[in-house]
Amino acid sequence: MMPVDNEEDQIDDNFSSPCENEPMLSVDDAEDEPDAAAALWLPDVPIRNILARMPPSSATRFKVVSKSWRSMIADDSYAVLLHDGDAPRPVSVVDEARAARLAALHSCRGKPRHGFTVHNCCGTLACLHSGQRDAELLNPATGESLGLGHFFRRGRRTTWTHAADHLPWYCLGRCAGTGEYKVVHLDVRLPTSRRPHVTCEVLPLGRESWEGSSGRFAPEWKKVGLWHVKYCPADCGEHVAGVVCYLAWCVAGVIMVVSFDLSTHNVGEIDLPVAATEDGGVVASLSELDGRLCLSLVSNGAEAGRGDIGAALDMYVRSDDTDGGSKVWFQVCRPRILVKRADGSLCYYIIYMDGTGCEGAAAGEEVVYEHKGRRWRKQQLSGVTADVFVKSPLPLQAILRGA
Amino acid sequence: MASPAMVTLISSDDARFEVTEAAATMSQTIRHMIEDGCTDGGIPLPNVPARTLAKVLEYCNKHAAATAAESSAAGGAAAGSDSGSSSSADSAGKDDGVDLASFDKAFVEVDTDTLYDLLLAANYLDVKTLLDLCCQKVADMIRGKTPEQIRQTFGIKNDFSPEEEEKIRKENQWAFE
Repeated sequence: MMPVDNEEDQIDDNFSSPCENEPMLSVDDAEDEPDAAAALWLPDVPIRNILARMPPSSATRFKVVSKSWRSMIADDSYAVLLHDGDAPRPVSVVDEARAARLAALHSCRGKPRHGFTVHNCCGTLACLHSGQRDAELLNPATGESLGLGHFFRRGRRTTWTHAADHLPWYCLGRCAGTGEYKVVHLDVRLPTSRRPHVTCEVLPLGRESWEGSSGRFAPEWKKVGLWHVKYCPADCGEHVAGVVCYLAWCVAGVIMVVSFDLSTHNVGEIDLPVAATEDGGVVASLSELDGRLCLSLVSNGAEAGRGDIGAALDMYVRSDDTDGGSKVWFQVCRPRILVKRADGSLCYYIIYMDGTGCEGAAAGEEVVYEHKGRRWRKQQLSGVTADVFVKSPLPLQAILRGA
Repeated sequence: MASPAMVTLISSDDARFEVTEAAATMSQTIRHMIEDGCTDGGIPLPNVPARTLAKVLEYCNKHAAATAAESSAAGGAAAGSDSGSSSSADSAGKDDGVDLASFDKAFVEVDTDTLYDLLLAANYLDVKTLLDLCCQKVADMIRGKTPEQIRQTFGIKNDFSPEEEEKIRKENQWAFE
């Protein structure tokens, strides 16, 4: 560690000897006073860039780092998108002030179209599909949307042909590294002449998908995989750090987690926690927690139906790469609540199995635990899921092209 | 084809690097210097040491070459007929994209000191794609950490009073649970 009174030398030598053999988070550093450690100084521009890539929970937590960091993390940057299965239109987008945003979007278009279903949120955008099964991107903060017309392009002249798909399964994600948005579409094909299979198509949404300076959007889906039918998705996709994950039913009702890397287009299987493979637990859902993959598991006990505690679920989080380069599951807590698709633990859902739920919740009711004010609040929503997006006033084109 | 225009870059420790103009101008800073005509005798980069500059140029060379290959492939496809040639160009372009993605991934698999040097250099040289790549890598490294760990990592002094800090923690309780 460089002594403080050598500071001038340190500045002079700063660039000619950039590599000190000092591990960044060593115990020594932790014991020194932080400003003397001066482990790294970064200008504001990259810090803003880094913060923009944080999961909401991490960024919010970093507000207490210092005053300058606080100023870079706006109070209202994040909002929750609730998708309501019973609303007049299948989707309503609701922010924290409970203002319906998608309703406004539809009124400018005149008549409501077939319903939309939200697949997921990623960064500042949400991925929906319409009744015609075409995917659509939405900036929930502005209401601007962009049809991804799931079409084929033939020859030099663009001939738009509707794809005959069976599964309206889409997932929006961003490539690790470049940050480019991509939408993945999975579909099951059941040809009479061949074995059934899953086709995987990817639509890159970065610069290449925008033609010239006029900026016309020219979506071009690319088929990147023809998979065994066991990879057929059984649930929504979840995007975690450049990888799209989803649950798939395997033979004999066994569930597995499938991963698809948006950069390399490699498909793989993620091992389940021991509790699911050996102790007979049942995987309930996947979600993202703090930028990591999170899995909820109904353990193989009868606790789930045991009176006042609601559905007992174990939560597992998949660690970052460990030294050996492998990832492991670790159990975070043993909650009586279901953390459902709530990037950054923003909403907790409790599903009471019988009429003895706490604070007056009735049988089968879903209760949303809101972080603001820390109060319980009954929702008149059913079939509801939630996702978090980053509010951005920018036009979609600017967001996608990374301008 | 004529040999491409070359420029000479000089690192802070006086090492000289000769690179194609296409690669060098991925840096907006260098592009402006070239446009202003201050390239005689090489372009001095007093903020970037040789070790880091070599790494940055490795990135720029790879990406400039990929861009050139892509545009020539696209030009060929446009000039050629509809059938055959365009589909082969498409598949080549796709392979390049995947190849470049794995190059990028491997490129930032470095120790933290090197990563921060790269990040600072990318910021100074204004190579947007490289800056984005490094920022994403740092973001992946620090997400999920506690504020205390962040202060240590970046050498930041906590300038909140205990009361102020407590207030922010309370307001954002959900993120600290």
